[in-house]
Amino acid sequence: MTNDRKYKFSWELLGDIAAGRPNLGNKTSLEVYRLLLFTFRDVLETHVGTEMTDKIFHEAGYLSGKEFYANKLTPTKDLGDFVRELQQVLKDMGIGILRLEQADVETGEFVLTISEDLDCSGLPELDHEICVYDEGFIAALLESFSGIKFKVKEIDCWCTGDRTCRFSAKAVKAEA
Amino acid sequence: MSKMLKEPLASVDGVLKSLKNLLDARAILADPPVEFLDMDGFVHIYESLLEIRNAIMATSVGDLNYPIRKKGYIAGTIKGLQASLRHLTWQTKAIASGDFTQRVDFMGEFSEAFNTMVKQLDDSMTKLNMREQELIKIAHTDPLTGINNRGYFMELLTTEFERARRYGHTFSVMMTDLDNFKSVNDTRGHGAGDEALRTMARVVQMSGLRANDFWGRIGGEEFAIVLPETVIADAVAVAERIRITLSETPVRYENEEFFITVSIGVSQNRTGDVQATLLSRADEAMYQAKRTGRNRVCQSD
Ligand SMILES: [Zn+2]
Repeated sequence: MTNDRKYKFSWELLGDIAAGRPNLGNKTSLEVYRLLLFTFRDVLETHVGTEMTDKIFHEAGYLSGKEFYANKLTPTKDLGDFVRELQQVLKDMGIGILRLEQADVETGEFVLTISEDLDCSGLPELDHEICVYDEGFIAALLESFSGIKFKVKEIDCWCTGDRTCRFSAKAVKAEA
Repeated sequence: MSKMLKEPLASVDGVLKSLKNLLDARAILADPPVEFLDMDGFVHIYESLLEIRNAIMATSVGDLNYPIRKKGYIAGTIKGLQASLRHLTWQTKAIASGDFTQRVDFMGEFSEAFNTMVKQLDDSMTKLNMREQELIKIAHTDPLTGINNRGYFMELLTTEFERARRYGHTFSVMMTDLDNFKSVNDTRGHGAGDEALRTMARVVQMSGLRANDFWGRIGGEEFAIVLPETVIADAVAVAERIRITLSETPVRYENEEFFITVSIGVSQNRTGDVQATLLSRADEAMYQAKRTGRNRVCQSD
């Protein structure tokens, strides 16, 4: 199984968009993105159940975050530099508007908010937070930045009636 | 019939009254009134509004961490405001610790004012730092020759003593004194004397000192030069080079040229030395050079 992977991700798989889409370019509608996301969710859930679907989305978000950090951000040890660049890139790429609400580098506790989030802003109200993909994405970004593993939980979500998505991130202390 | 209608109407009246209370009352409100506790829907709305009321109150007096557990449009909007203000707090702390690259772009007119302030702060700090560097340089420099003054030379020498002690290294020092300097001043004027000092400074500068060597003008026509990790024999060789080069370098002043010479005393750091003992040995050697004919290098025994 591990040897004959057909879909192993690499950034190159995203292709040369300028060459491939001379007229349409790097542009698509958000509906299409969400269509993909939510149909995947639907079908996966019918096959593997809700819990596993969330796990898969979380892992995919994590992989995406790792690749995103490696390909879109400048490695730095400075939290200020990291947040500033991340904010800019997330905004430029239309992913969301990031605000860092709390950052305690020593205890490894962060609270951050993403408004106008790609995945969920504007969705109908549900009774649960749905941004598991974002959770994985943020965990991977923080881990790539700090070298420490993070557990990220969405505590407020557009889908549960809030105006922004708020995430808490806690460093996972290495077990002795 | 009329009795059946009357009770719910009384309740609606009471409901409206307590909701109005939530909007207007100045008193601190707590739980919903007991008479409505069995109306689930009402209790839910009441508690939500109460939390929102408390959250707005807290935010308005600057508590940005008031926990809002309720969901919904108004609660979410306040959370959004909390997020913005808390991010702003974080940015301000970053600025306070010297990160002047922070900019705000989500608070309308305030953003512009804030960003202008940070930019001006950045400019002022840059200017202040530059000015500070200039002042430090001025405080360390002898204005005539542009080299270290006595005070700063002594500071550097203190550091060198500590370094030598810590690592068990040795170092040498030379004291130089221009020969017949008084007569240059008397016969050719002070301008010529100043030019002689500048010539000496140039000669030392061009004599191939290493990055760790340091020197300063420590008196009228006296310069001291320290050569870290150098034994006395090697220091004497450097002193000789300086002495000879100076004697061959013309001092140019008001279309005239004249020559000057220097007497140099060299000494090496010994265990137990302090600044005064080391420098006075080098001084002693320098006077010996003067006594024995000038334009010479002598070393302490
Ligand atoms: Zn969300």
